[in-house]
Amino acid sequence: MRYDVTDFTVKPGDEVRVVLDNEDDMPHNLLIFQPGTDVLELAASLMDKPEETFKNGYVPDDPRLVARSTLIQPKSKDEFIFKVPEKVGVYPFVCTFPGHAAIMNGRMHVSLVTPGLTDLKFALYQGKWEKLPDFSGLTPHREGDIPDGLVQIELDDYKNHFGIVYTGKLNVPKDGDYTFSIAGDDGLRLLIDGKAAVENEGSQAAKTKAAMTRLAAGVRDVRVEYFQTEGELGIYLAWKGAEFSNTALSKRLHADTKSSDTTGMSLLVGSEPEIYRNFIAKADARPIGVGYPGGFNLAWDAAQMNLVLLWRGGFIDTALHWKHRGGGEQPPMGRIKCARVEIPRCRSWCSILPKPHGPCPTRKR
Amino acid sequence: MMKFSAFLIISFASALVHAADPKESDFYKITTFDTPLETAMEVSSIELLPGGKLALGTRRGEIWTVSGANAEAAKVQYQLYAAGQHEVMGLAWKDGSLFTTNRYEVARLKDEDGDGRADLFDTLTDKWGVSGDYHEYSFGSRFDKNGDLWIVLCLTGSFNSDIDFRGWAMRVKPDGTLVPTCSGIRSPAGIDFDADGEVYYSDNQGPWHGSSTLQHLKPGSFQGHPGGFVWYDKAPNMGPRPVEPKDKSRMVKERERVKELLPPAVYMVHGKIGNSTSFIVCDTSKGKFGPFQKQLFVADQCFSNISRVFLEEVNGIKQGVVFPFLQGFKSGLIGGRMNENGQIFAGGSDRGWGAKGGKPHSFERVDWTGKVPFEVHEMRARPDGFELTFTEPVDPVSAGNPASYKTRAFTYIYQADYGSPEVDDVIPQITKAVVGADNKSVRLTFDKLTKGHVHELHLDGVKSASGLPVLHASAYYTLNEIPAK
Repeated sequence: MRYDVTDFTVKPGDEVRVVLDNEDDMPHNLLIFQPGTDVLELAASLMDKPEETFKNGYVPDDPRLVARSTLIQPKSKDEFIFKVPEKVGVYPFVCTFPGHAAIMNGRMHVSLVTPGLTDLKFALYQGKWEKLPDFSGLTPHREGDIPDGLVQIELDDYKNHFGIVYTGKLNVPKDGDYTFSIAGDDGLRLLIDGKAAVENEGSQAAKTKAAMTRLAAGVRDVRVEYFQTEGELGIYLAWKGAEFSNTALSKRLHADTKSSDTTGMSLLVGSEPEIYRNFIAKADARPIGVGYPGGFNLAWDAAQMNLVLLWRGGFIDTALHWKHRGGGEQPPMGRIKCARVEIPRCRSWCSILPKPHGPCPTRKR
Repeated sequence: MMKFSAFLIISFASALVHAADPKESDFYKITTFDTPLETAMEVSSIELLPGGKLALGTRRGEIWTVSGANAEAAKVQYQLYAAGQHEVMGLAWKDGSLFTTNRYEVARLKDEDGDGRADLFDTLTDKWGVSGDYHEYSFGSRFDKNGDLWIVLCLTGSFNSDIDFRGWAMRVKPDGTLVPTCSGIRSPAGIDFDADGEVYYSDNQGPWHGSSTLQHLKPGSFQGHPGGFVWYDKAPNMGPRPVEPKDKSRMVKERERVKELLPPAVYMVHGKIGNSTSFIVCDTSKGKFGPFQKQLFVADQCFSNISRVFLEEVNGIKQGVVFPFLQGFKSGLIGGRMNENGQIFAGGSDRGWGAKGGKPHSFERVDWTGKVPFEVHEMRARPDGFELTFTEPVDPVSAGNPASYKTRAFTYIYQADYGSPEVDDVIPQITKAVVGADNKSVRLTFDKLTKGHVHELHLDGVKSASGLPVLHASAYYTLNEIPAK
């Protein structure tokens, strides 16, 4: 249950056709809103009036709505065409079917330039370096194309001792000054038409370095050289011009700007319930989290033998536990305000029967 | 046609290396399996299932069954058997059920409707404490010769035991009764049996553990870290609480004061053999894994390697020697098992603790190529030195020359602080090296042996009868006891 594309970029005033193919076994939609709309809050608020929302096909009566699909039934397709607003910015989109918003959301970027490079290729080298080597004398371990045009590291699952050279084309819209920002862990160099535009060649933690370059309109050759020693790794490249703000040339945004290492690994609930036994906040030391299809979730405390949490929306983000050693308590996803119930500890919600099919216990006063 | 050309390449490759010194891969080959992309196969436990299948437990709490892993790697198949456990650190198969040890319990899982997925989850026992600290891992064994499972419970962090039986080894009887069996555990990462069914676990460097170790779980013993002593109050079968070991002492000295204290059988010398000892495998394949029958193979998470251990019993105490064996695994090894064909399956992860392998997780297999490496086969303590046996005949001139060997002895500080440097150096002199009549053994006489010290031996000058060097020319013998004869 997710959109396979969570970010796309279009130009102001373009006519855009959005094609949605629902391969899932639940209904979905896609609603695009004005920049700044809190779509998670908006989707959650729909649940406050479930009957009205159902009647309206999960479409809110909200002036911030820019464009939308219909409600697409399982295993079917739909498309819609709309004109992109003239205002440059980030337009969030979301599925408003109950419980989906926390996982099914994304961003439409309206910008004069689109992210990435064209004809992007990589050559991966294995080796142990302290600073950027002269790649020209080395033999690549593996080479290939990067179809999405974004500079990225996860070409292979090597984590230590490798280098990558990326080559591609950059379409410069007008003559002018452009600022290129880079951050690499470890070293990184960006060359445009064979000349170094900005570099940070040593072994390091990622820090942003930027430099301005005057470029003529047209297609420019871009070359990016990168190497990794050990430990953390990362690569970030972006550019901006007089008429557009920082636009990514790499897949992962820089840690300064986005993405935390303890979020972003939502456990998706498909057609079957998912169980997550790990440290869930407020569910004691032996929790059993269960996410049901449709966005209903609970946590059972197996130490006290009691139900302790109920919540609607997304199930749980596993990143805190699954990207690290496993410590820390992870609160549930979903809407905190009215859809998450903490059940008082004093109440006993169940008792264990002496026999599986024995009579239910009677309440004693 | 394809097959034929591939064969040619292989013969060409082996012709090339003939001129150079032998290397590990001539004798033991590592095969790396692709794993399902929808998960991170951070293998933390492996068990053999009927029909040549395997079960893999993972740190994310999944259990996968694998078919075809004993044959061509490209044809291996995976099926998700169960999910939503909390770190599957032990798997044991018995009578159609899979017994798992996770953080919270030992449970019996069974696929009752035959669709390949577990649908019965029956808790056998969960009567140990879990505080919510991530460090409280629970590692489980296979069934021992009495039909019991063994579990080793990591401390709360490195120093404390905040809740019941953290820092203890427990036995789980078939009816689910939990029997406190050894105290003194710190941070285990593997548990298995030797060829006689004796139980060993691996512990990691930290407080009261100067180095990572291989330890013998003798019922009633204290394994070195006093952090869990408070639970003697709940373990009447274990007798009275031992006296506390003194800080900044030596293991050999404290053994005289603390009668329950059992020294590590082998120090897996920190920084040389490994940094983070994990799974244990005993070669019970009757020769299908090469010449090291009944020896133990102990993995390391940080070094992404497997080392080889030969054990003997002297004065009632297990002790022995560790040799480097095989490196180059793709991630940090955690779970491992050998099958009846003498294939080791090994897997792991580098999450949270780095590993030399460099990949985030791995599942691999080791096969013996059928060639016998020139190695020290066994190393036994003698009253005045050591006796070595070799896998192949030695060159009597080099092996009979004391100058072909270098030696040093050291120990660790037994202390509450984290780890220890190597201390109390002794440089013994080798006064004699006598080659046996069969040309496959050497008796070394030392001018002195030091009880409690690790005796390291380097055999860089020793050649085989055909002129080859020893493949792994380093040995580290933990001399807990010096034999009288």
